[in-house]
Amino acid sequence: MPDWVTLGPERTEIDLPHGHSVTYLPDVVIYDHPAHGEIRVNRVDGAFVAELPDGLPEDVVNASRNRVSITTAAGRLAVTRNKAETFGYAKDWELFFFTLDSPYYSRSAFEIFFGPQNDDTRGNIAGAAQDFWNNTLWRHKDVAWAMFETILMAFFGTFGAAMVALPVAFLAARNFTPLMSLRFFFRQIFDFVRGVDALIWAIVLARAFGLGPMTGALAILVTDSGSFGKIFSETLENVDEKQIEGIHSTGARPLQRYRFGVIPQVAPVLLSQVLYFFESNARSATVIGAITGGGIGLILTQAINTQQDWEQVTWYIVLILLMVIAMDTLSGWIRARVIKGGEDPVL
Amino acid sequence: MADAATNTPDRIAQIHSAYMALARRKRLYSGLILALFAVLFVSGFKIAEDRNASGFMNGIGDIFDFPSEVVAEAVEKSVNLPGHLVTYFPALLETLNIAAVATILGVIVGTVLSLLSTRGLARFPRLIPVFRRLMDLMRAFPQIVVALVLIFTLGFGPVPAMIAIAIHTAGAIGKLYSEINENADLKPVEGLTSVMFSMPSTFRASCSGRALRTRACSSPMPIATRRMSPGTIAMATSLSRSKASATMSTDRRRCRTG
Repeated sequence: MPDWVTLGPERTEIDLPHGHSVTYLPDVVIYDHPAHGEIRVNRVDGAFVAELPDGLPEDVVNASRNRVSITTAAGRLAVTRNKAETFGYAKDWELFFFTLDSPYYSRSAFEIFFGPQNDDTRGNIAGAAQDFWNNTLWRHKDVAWAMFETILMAFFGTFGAAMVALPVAFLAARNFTPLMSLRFFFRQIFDFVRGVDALIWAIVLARAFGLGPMTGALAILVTDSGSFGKIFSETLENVDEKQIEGIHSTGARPLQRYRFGVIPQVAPVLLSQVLYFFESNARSATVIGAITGGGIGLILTQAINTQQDWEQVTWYIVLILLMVIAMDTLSGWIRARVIKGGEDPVL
Repeated sequence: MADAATNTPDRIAQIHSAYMALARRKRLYSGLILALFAVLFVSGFKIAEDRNASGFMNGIGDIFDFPSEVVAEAVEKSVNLPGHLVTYFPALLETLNIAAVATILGVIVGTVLSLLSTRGLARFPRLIPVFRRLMDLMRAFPQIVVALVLIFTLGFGPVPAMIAIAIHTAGAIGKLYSEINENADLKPVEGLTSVMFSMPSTFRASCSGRALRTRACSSPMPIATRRMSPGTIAMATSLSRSKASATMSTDRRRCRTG
């Protein structure tokens, strides 16, 4: 326990800076504000009742039946049914690595790697990794999973859309489908699924598939098959007919003509377009995740909505930025390798 | 002659086998990449399915539940439609307004940033990498994050949405314009700077005419609004205001356990 906490059987006192203090008693928590007096949080029949002193600024206390939170410049107190938590501020990575109940709390990296064993049942490095991964306050495990889910949504959505759109794009290209009404029909379908935004699709699909990364991925898939259908069919309209004629003259059937006459011509262009959408979708998957309940987007909006302090919001934003930059670099690198000297499509 | 005649089939066979070896290797590599992709795709599907509230196969039949309900209700209450149109027409105009103002602001800031980060034109050549990274950051921030943070600082309304879009537009336009400016011929610039023209007037006299045409073609609006329209941002922010996402997450937990 840190030295600003005095534990007792009935009464626990916590000293915060600038003369603030918090006292835990059975069924009542008292926050002593030096400027405004005592804020008492009583528990009456399972609900919380906060007694506020006069002249207290409005944004200090946020009270409801099940939760009372008090935020001041000295620290913050949150009282819920299960527990009362008090946090002070520290200019450091306090609690980021290990919480107070971990034996590795406030140990340096050197002590963990080379020092004596802190825990009888676990080795130092394995134990520290376990406690870091399962940190209840910063939830590193959940955040890592959420980041993975976000990238998964972008990956599954983009490449699934490309696979759906490629065969259909042939039906919407002028030189492969001479029948105008058929072409027109498929173009209208592309325009429709593309015209409805991915967020709307996410809400529509959430009804069918429930909440989670699959719904987000499918929302991206539906919208992007429209975009890909349009781009792919336009690319297909620009292929060189000579190569197809050459393949045709050897007696190839239509499917073989497409495979050996068309696909080699358009593959680099299509792949670079798909990769461009992939990096763009890694960004929008964050937003879609906030709606469909998956990925880092949900965790971020939850952190913003709890209206606590902003340290976790900042951390998630930094993670999102790092993810976006990493995806941009990765897909830019692959794109440069796929089309050497080719031009980056500006879409 | 006889020599050549005996050698020809050999050489053809050689070329043929070399070609086949190359083709085999290429096929092997493409096959490996394809297999890796298939494994990633299938396992990705499995993981997404496991972590979702309801499975793909369970839900595929219910896709049209929501749209059909919406349409049915809309048809039922179609009498109110003209009234709604009148009520929400200002909101529609507001959306367009957000898009327009955000684009104009973004283009102005983006143009300044592009001039500061173009090789050969920059006022402070040493700071070019700084401005480039700044534009990278402006583009990398998801607009919704900027909008959500701004809502808490500026309050609910069109202004946070506008600023969020403008920031992204400025980053995108800055990058696009600086690339166009770099491709512009710098000889007129050199000529003008040699007779001591100041930086802004040099740009105006030498580059802007040509670059403007390219810019008009590169149409900033679709770029700014392609992935995320102002309407969506407004919708998403209002959704999170109403704590829809929080309730959704509890629903999801219930679905998983139940």
